[in-house]
Amino acid sequence: MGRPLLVGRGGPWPFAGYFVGRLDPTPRSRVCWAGRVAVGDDLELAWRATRAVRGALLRGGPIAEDRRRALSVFWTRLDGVHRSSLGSAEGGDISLLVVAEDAEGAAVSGVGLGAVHAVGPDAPASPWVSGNHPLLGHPGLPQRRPGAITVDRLPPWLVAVAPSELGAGDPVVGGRADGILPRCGVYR
Amino acid sequence: MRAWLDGDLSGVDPRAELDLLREAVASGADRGDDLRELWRALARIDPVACAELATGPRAVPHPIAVEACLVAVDALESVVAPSGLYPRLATLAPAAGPAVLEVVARRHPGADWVARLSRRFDPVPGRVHLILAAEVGALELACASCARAALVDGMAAAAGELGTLEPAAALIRQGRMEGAQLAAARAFDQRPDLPLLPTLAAVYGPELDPFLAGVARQLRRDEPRAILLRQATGLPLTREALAPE
Repeated sequence: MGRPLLVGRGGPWPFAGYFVGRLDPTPRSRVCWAGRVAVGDDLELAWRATRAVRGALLRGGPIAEDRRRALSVFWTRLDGVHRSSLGSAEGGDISLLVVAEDAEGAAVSGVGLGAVHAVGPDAPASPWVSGNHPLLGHPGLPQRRPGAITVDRLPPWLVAVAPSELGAGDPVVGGRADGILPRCGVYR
Repeated sequence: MRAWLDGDLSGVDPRAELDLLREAVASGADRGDDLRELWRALARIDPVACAELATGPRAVPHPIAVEACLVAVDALESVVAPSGLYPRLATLAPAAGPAVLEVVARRHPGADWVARLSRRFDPVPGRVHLILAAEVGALELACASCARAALVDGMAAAAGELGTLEPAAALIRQGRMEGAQLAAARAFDQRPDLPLLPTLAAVYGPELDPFLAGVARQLRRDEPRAILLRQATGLPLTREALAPE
């Protein structure tokens, strides 16, 4: 059960424009996501953008059970959101990590990610992908449907960092869950 | 000495005549005289002597003297660090503590040592600090200071009086979630037009529902409860907290 998270920004409003969500097609399958959009806008505009994303992703009702098919539906739904509802950048600043799981394993996809780390309850965080991995890239709604990594198992948390948050060094590297999760808006 | 009380210190060497000046302050305070002109004049001609008379070992421990010397804080702060000056004045004459706190809250809204004065001289510590800081446009600084000092009740009271979410945001930043819920509820009770969800989500995080449910349970008035219920689509815990019993 790998849960996607996205590290907050610096400054007084670290989660302006951040969103998370989840769909459970069956007891043995689910799709979870964490992302951000309209992060440069004022708080209310950023909030409305997150609600627009939420609406687009949930509006279609249940999602496919198969992890690959579920991701395909996910991206199709996101593509249907009105750009004008996504803040002043019209979705050009979106970052998103999505995980689909079924009985066979997991599929991970995303856009606008600078780093993705595996985080567990005990061990220090470690890079889950690196270098020029296709999961990493510039923010913005994708022109083509992003690819996906399929794996048998995921770490408890997959923690992504948007490229703009890597300026002063990766804030996750070497950290531990109790320090990292609050930076993602998760308080245990 | 009457002329001194009126601020006429012509021909006076304050450092040489400090004992006489002290006597003028002490006797004037005992009589209930207005000492402000004397302090203003002294601050003008010799800030060091002014600070010595106000805060030194032989300072007059009378609330009238201490309150009056607050007109000379520019001069006093030029000689004595504010973190030492104001606690010293408040200790000299605790009855003047609330007046000292009022000056401090406006002049040093972000200083952490203000919290200690708040605890001593504000019946709801933090409240006066925030309300006066808001008057000078320094609410954010003051909220950060009060949140670090965990002055939750005062922050919630000020949030309600000012109708602002800034105290709640500051408390979240310090990880004081229960206090933040109370402060957010007091603010939203007062001003249901506040952007409650956008603000709290921006500082708390996107998994807002459990936190917001705690806010909802603290709301006292029907109108904000109804407004929040309309806004809380997709937030089941919050809706449950707002449901009629």
